[in-house]
Amino acid sequence: MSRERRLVWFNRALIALMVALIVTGLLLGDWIHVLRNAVLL
Amino acid sequence: MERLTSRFWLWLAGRRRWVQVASTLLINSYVTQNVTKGIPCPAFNCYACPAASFACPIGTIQHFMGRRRAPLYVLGIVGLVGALIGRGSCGWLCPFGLLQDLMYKIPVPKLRLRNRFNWTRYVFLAVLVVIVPFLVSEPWFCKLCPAGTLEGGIPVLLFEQPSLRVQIGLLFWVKIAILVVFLGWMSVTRRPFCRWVCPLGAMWSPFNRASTIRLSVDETTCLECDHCQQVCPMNLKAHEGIDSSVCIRCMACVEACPVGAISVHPLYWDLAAETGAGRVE
Repeated sequence: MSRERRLVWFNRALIALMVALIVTGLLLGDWIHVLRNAVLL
Repeated sequence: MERLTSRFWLWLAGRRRWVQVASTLLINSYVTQNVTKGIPCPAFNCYACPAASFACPIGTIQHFMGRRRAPLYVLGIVGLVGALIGRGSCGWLCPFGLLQDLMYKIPVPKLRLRNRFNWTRYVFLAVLVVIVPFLVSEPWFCKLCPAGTLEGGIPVLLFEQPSLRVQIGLLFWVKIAILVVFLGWMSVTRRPFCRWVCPLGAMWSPFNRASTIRLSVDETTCLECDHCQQVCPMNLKAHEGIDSSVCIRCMACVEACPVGAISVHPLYWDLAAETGAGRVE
């Protein structure tokens, strides 16, 4: 597998991981914590 | 197709200042605060600023550390931006980066510093953003942050809550001193905060090697004239490592290269060329 292809797959995996983190965080209620903390300021 | 794409990136690179200004205004647009402040901002902007419309990711991470809670949502947003554009947000979206670019235009003698000790930004990230808030439940980076002083501390005391002035103490004057030092440093050295301090830039730095948008150097065309270094806000030589973790993807080098050896190289472009998807008949 060429270096470019490996990078493409790694990039895809990174994006998938970050999306998973966002979704998990939202399901755990992180957005409300962020909003309350930010608005209090 | 490739020539069209190159012309597009060159066209965009010439308009970076407009993008920075528009981003600063959008991030501090005030109007959508009640909703969008739950979204971490893809740039370094204090959410204590009365006009801030988004949450500061660094402040938010400290808050989560103080509550002993994993900041998954924030890390996901920051990581997604990094995976797409690497440290490009520093060069195109960050209001504090724009401030540094403008401060450097002040006509005073310049101090050109090499990129030594750039690892200090990782120390600030680990110690002041993660470890100390986790131990003492206080956002110690925010307490010292010059962006927070400029965008939050001073406007709040001047306009929003003047009654807080009676609480001004030693910490406030320490923050002012830190801000003054950085404002002075910004006028003599390019992007000192980005290069040595910014914890958000530190988080994005490792993504430069694997982000979707990347830069590349044609080594057969490059003259190694170092003209790229003359225009680079981070004092980098493109031919010595275009994927440097310090690079903020401002594309000043793309514009400035006399032989056009530097180009924007989206990660999927070669793959599309291999499969024939990018071929124009």
